[in-house]
Amino acid sequence: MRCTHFRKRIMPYIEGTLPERLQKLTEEHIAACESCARELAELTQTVHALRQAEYPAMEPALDLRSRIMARLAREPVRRPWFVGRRQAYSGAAVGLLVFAIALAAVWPYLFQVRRPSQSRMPSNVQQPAKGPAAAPKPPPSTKAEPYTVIADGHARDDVDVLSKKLGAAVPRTGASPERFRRIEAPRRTVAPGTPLKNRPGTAPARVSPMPAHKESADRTKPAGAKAVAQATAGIDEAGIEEIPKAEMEGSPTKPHVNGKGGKVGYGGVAEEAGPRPRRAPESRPSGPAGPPPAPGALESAWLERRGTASSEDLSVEAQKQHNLELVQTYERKAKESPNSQVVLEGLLNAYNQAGQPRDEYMTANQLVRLDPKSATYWFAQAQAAERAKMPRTAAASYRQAIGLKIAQPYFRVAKRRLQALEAERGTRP
Amino acid sequence: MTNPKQDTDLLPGNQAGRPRSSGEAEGAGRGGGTEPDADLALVLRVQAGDVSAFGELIDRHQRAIYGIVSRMVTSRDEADDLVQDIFVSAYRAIGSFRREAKLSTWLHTIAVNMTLKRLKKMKRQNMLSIDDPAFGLASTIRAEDDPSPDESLQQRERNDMVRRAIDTLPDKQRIVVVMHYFEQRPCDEIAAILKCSVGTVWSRLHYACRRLRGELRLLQQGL
Repeated sequence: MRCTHFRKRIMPYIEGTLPERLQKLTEEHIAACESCARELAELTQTVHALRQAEYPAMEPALDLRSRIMARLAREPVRRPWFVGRRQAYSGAAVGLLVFAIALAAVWPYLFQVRRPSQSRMPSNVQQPAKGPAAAPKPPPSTKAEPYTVIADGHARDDVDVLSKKLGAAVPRTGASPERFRRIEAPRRTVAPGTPLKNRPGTAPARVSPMPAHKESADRTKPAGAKAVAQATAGIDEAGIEEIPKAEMEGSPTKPHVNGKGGKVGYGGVAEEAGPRPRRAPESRPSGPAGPPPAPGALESAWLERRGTASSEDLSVEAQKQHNLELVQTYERKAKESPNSQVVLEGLLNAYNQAGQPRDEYMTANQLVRLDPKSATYWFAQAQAAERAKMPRTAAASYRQAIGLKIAQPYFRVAKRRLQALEAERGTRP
Repeated sequence: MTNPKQDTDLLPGNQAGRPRSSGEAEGAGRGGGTEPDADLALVLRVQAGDVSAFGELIDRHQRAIYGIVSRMVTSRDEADDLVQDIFVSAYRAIGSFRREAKLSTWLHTIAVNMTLKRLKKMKRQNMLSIDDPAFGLASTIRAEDDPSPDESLQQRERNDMVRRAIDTLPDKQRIVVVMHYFEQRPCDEIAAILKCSVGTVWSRLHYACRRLRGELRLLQQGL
């Protein structure tokens, strides 16, 4: 045994707890090693002294138990987390399972992209692509498919909003469900792939031309002359077409009045831009020029074109009558307060619903002149111009809306429409 | 002052009423085969929510716990507070008692850990109690608490020397010395309490005795 081994076993040796074999080896080492023997002697004396010494403990206080119990009385009962909670945890597990199943059931719908008609997007605008996997193209078919132009929800919402704003001044015909059913009646059919300009009814898309996020704070802000000039210059540089005089005269509405009491005119921007070669009257898609028709004349003409009036026709006629009344109401309001952006927006919507794209464009142009920094107005003007078959003006307005960073998804729509218009212009002879 | 080796107090739960030494007193579950069973029954009652059963456990083990704590701290108030904290902690944790060790060992583990933690905190805060043995007040208080006033002056001086010598030890060595030489705990049980090996306990005892050798030499000469 070495000294290190002995020192490890010296205390058990003193205590007498070593096994007999180790005790014998230890004794042999002590006999051979003088230093270890001296160490053993000193430690044995120390241990002996400790054993003989007294280090009495204090007695616990008599009220120690009561004090502890008083503290425990304030303690909540502590048990293992699983004791007595089997039902609670079973219920929680079942609830989690049900939630997981429900989540799995609704999972595909959670990430479904909202359609533009649900988000007040103009439905006649081509939607941006959603990627190769999403929205697969329908197979080509020779059969004409129904092409729904009208976004019913927009018309309904706009009428409701306007009724509130104008103090129930907006007339409406028929009960709501019936009216909405009638709105869906005049579906136009167009073969897939038909160019936009050739689609019947593309121009009078009866949707709210204003993006829903238009800031209300901008509505009463008058535009400075400088801003209007900049806006006008921007349009001129972009090359906006001028509206034929005959079209203006043939429109059922009269020229608007600007804030200074003078006529703004249908040409609006174009008139200020100077004389331009005017388009022939026969190129106008809305018919020959003439005096403004009396109220109800449009419906009569439309019924004549349709022949005998069925119940569906009657409902359409009622809708058209309603739209005309709406237009008249807003025109009256616009005369009373020509610089009110709220009224002009309502008039814009009314023209849109009534299917008067030229007037819609002129109203949008008025709004642009009032607030040339509003990307929303530029977008509305672009939409109206496109419907009014003014592709250059539409392209210029889309550029302005993009330049003013219109919010998504209108930014994406504007870019796509601008590309389409430029491509169409490039292929035009 | 009562000599722990001659302590004849009857411990609560000592059914036979036999005289017990202090070393046996704290080991309520260490005696016969029925005491661990009694502890276990009380533990089960406490785990079922019976607080009064914990009161019985306090009665059975408070003297043993107090014996260790009072030798480690320097005042009665600190000992009282610490023992209360130890039992409250034991009550909070009794749901996790798994019968892998005796209840007395489990309680002593809590007591030792909390005592060492408290001592460490006191040293960190550099607290100097008026009851520090260096000022002699502790021995005065202890002398007042001493139930045997007939103790001779020589005996008191000898005990004070032992206390002062032991109080100079590091806490880990001191608690081993206290438990082994003054609580009569075997080294394997101390190892179970401290959750270390028996060799570690022997080693700490060895180093403690080497430190105490010089301190107790005067005592030995006096003897």
